[in-house]
Amino acid sequence: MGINIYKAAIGSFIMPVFTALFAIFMPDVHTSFNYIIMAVFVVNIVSFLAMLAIFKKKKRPNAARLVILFNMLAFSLFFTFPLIKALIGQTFLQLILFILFFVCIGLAIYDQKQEVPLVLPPKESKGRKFVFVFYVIPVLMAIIAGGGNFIIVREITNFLGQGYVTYVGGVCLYVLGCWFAFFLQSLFYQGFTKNGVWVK
Amino acid sequence: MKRKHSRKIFAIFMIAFLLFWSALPSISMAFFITPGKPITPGQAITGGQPITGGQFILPGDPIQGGEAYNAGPGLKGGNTSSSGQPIVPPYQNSNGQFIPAIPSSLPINKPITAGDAITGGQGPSGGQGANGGNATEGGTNPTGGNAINGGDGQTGGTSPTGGDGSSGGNPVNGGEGPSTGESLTGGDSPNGGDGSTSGGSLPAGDPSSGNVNNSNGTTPGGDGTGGGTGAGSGTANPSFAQQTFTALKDTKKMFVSIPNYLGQMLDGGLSVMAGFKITDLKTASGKRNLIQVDGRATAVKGSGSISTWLNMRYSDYLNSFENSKSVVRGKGGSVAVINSDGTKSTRNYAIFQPRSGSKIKQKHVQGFINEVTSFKSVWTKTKDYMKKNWIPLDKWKVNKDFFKAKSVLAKGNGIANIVLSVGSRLAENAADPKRTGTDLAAGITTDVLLGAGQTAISAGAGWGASVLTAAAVGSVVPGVGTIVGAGVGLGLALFMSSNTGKTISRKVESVVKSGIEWVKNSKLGKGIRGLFGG
Repeated sequence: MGINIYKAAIGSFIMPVFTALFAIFMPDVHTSFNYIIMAVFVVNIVSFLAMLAIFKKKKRPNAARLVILFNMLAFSLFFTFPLIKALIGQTFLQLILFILFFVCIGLAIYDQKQEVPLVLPPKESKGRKFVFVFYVIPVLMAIIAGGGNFIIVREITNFLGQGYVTYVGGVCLYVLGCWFAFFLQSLFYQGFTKNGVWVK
Repeated sequence: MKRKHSRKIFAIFMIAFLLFWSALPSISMAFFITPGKPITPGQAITGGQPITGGQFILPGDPIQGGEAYNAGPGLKGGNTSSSGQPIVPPYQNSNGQFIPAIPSSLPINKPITAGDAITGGQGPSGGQGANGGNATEGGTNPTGGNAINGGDGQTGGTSPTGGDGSSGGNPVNGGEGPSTGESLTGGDSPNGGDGSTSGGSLPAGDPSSGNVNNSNGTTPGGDGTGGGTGAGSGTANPSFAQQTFTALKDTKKMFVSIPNYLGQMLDGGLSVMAGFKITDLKTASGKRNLIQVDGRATAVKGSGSISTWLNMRYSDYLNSFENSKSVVRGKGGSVAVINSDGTKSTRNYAIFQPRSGSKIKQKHVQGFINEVTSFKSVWTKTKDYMKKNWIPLDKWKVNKDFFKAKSVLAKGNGIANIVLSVGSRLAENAADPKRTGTDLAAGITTDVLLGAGQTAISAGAGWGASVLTAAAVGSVVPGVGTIVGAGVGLGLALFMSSNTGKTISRKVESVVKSGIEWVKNSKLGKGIRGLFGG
């Protein structure tokens, strides 16, 4: 496609920055999550450097591909932070939500091993029932969260209070984060395994 | 052998990485656990003083019996109690006075005489002192019943006199402040009809323009002909609101063509569900390389109304790219439509679908690929978008694109945002009397700017996701960028209503307000105001 994979890998670090904005400032509570956010960035940077050092020249593009995947997963992970931060003091629930996020990643790999996966199914497939439900999830979340229109959200918040953004918005972002994790992991898994981009 | 070895390294690395990700929370938390101070032994516990026995409780004096109860003297009957005065006085009037019949002569029975007709007080347009002659007539006119006409007794009174009837339009604008009311000094004008047309100068809401109108109206006030010109001035200076609402009529297409984040979520999802992607077959280097287009003709099966609607959205989405022809082909189709009278009819549409299965040379598809994935394209589009929609000044000159009605409407989510913003900010002003017209203008402008920023950031994120997917996966999946962009836009909308977001919004608004003040008082500002007819 003419895209330099290394430049793309470096550029991919911008993606989690978008959602880190939500993770840092929403909701307005003081937690140690900012350190976790930093840790995620550090892990991704270090892993990129480590893989470049370990991988042989022929396989180095794979290091870049993996880092793009990690950054996209970090992008998804930060969507979940506003809700998890809001549940400060409920460590058990926070852990469950963390684990659920990673379960979604695992489910995506499981789904891609099915004959007709949810994400980018092969053309000749007959399709699966209720596939549409998967794609309706983000639309539903968008409706609940005010349709993405900040004026509507502001008016709802004025009416219902800040709890709307903290909890309703937090739940929507969390679901969206898990959905993105599933979606992006599926996409990358399919690309790595079926499109032949993974250098063997 | 080497291959096996490298696979081992791969496997080990992947396991280690996944373990790290899974244990990320605990690891990062553990990072901050620092060892505390060692417990230093305290002093030995020394025995206290023995408990000394207390004093014995000595028995007190025995309770001695009291004196026996002596019965007192017997109760003697006293004087017979008098029953007092009879409650009912002995004289005849004791039954009380009868309520005398209300004489018919009481004034109550007099027919209520209507008071003087409430003549409307002199409203804010009382400032029409320049038109004083007419105003006085209005106040004293016994036909002041006309005050019903908008409650402006002054003008109502003059209306029967014909000449001032034109100013009857003023009360409608009375709420707008002195601006329009005064401009209609046409009241003095014998051509009352002209005066009424000037009532259309709605923009009077803007205090600055109100002042201008005021001067126009009062100067020619004494001159009937001048009144006519006052009316003219009202229509010659269309306000921002007028421009907006006029443009609304012409921008139905725009409203439909600019999907909001909900639409983007749906469109992106539909295209991914249909498997729309462009895969690099890596058959050759350069533009001779072959590209394969995949994707089903329809996103969902079925011929019901919902399925048809979804498939039409998918078709429109495929056709929405500038270079779509290389990867999408149009095909005639018909759709069953239910008319307003309940009858059914078929309407023909061009239905677009991917050129699925085609192996196309990359040079033919490069335009589409660049549109969706090129970093340069992303930057250029974002820059142009921001310049056109977000920056009112370009190299210290007024950026006319910024003030074009269509451009203004395209900011944020288009018309919906403008209408919502105006409604929201008007309510805000109504709730807080301290807020002025400048605050209102600053609020709406801030909303427009924030909407533009939200759109630009979400579009950038979407394009970025599209590029990264294409680079890592080897396939361009346009739907990914659309969904990711919509997701970021959704998050930004929530973020702007968080405490931090509101603080940022308030700061932007104060800067915008300062900017408006500056525009009003500078040469450059005159140019900008001219664009709005100010």
